[in-house]
Amino acid sequence: MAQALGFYTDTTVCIGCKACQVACHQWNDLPAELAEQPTGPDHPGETRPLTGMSYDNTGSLSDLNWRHVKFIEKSQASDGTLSYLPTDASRENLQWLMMSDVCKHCVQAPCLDVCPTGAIMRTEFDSVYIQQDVCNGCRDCVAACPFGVIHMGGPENEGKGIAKKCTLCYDRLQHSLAPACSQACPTASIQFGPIEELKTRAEARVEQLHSMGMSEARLYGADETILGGLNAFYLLMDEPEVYGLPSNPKVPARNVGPTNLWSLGTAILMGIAGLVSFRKRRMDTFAEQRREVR
Amino acid sequence: MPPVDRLMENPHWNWMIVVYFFLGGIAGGCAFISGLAALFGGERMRPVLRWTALIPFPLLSISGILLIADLGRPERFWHMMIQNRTGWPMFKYWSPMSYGSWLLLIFSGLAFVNFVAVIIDDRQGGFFGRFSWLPRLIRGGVLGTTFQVLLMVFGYLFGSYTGALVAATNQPIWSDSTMLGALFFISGVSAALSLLILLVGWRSHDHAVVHQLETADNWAMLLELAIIGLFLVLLGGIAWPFLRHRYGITLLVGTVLLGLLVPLLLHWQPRLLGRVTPVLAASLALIGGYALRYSIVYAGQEIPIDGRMQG
Repeated sequence: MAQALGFYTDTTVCIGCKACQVACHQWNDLPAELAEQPTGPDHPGETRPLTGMSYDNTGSLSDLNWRHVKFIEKSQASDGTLSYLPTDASRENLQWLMMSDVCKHCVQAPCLDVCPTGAIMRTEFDSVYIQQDVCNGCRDCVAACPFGVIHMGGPENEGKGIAKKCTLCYDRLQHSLAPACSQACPTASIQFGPIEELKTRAEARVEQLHSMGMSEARLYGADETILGGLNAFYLLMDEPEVYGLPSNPKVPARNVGPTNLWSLGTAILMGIAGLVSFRKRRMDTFAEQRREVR
Repeated sequence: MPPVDRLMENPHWNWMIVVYFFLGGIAGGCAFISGLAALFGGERMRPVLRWTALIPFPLLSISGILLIADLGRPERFWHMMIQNRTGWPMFKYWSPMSYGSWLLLIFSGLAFVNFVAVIIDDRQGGFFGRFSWLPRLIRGGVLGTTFQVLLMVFGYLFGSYTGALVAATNQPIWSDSTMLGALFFISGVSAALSLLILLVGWRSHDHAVVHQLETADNWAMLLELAIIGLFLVLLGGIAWPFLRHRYGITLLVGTVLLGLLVPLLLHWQPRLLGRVTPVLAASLALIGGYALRYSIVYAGQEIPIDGRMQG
């Protein structure tokens, strides 16, 4: 395998320009998808460009949006109460938290683990890739992904969904090109390269931020505690949940053994109960008793 | 905890999966009971064995159709078992959907043989007469015993794997308990016993057999109650939001009350409602089995818990 490649996203320098989203759409030939539109006489037309929730106009990752810039509006009232709701009218001391979300290309990828067709594979760059001609749309990967990355769909399937997500621009990597999003990022918020090199860079940046008094700076997914490590890891300025990231995602296969053990125990108990209930002698005795009653 | 953007995406496993889990559970339960009846029940169990041979294959056929229809690309269903690029078998022992596909295939094959044997038995002579060796082969001797044990084992594996399938995800409720395999299995056994009580009671007047089926069903229902209790305890803090939701209420009312407690009462007091009592008890138990699958399948996809889902 070639060395592991991936993304380090420094959210402190993201300016929410969405160049990454545009570049992803352009390179992967993904059509625009507008978020759910408000309807009614006050909202003429079908194509309002914003969701009405901050400056977000795509809402979430989807089958057509393999990158999604999140705009989290954090405010703190004078009494210290925190608010993250853009609709909260009493907001004070507003702070933007912006983050370009994408598939994490997990080292222990839940989607890859459960995929029953082998459509989801690990590439020579340690990224997680969905083979479009293999996937049959069972959606097990959707249920397994703790980040809500995978969506079903794609215009080429005429509405019949198969799994879609970021490919880490596998086609570009094969030609020694950086992924389109990282190349387009004007602030180097999205950095691409060998994972080990990125980790060193990220740790130095956290130290720098801490020395500047920003003690809330932390890395998410850079070490092995989250699904063996994320090949798209983040520098965050708040709890992971604030960014819509689970603090402790799990490998789905962890449940298979214990679940099967409980099932086996139950089957043994039911087997004994069935043996007791169906014993020939017991049945004959019961029939005999009924005859006597008559 | 601040409000979060969407974390988990809904896999949209809909009514086809619910019906599949229900029918598959009955098929697995029938095979499990078939093994027990054949190995321990003696000659008197013949009417039960006839039904346990007739029921699973049609249910598994419907299940297969539902599963294929539910795929985003149904024409690629065979990718579950064959690698389309190499032609080699596709099998992952750690992925319940992968080994479950194989279980469905093998179990359907066994159920088909058992089904055909009864048809041959019923229509001796003519075309079917040529295959009269088949029922003899799988009904007696070492081969017959082996066949029944195999059927029983595959019935258990098939009846329980659906629970492992939903547990091997990151969806709330599904992945928060390791009891769903046991729960789906025992519920399938209970539903199968209820169906057998209806069918054997309808076509045969051997009250001893019906009584034994009811006795076994009582055990199954008591086990199911205990497992539901354990399931809720192991859910911990998320049990309450689940039980307050309409899917939790469906579990409590549809499965626990109507599907388990009322049938247990009716088995205990068989003359409570006259002749209709056993029919009502069995019918309610079947409805309870369906309500269980409906509740669990939708709860894991639609109940917002811990900010992990936004519905």
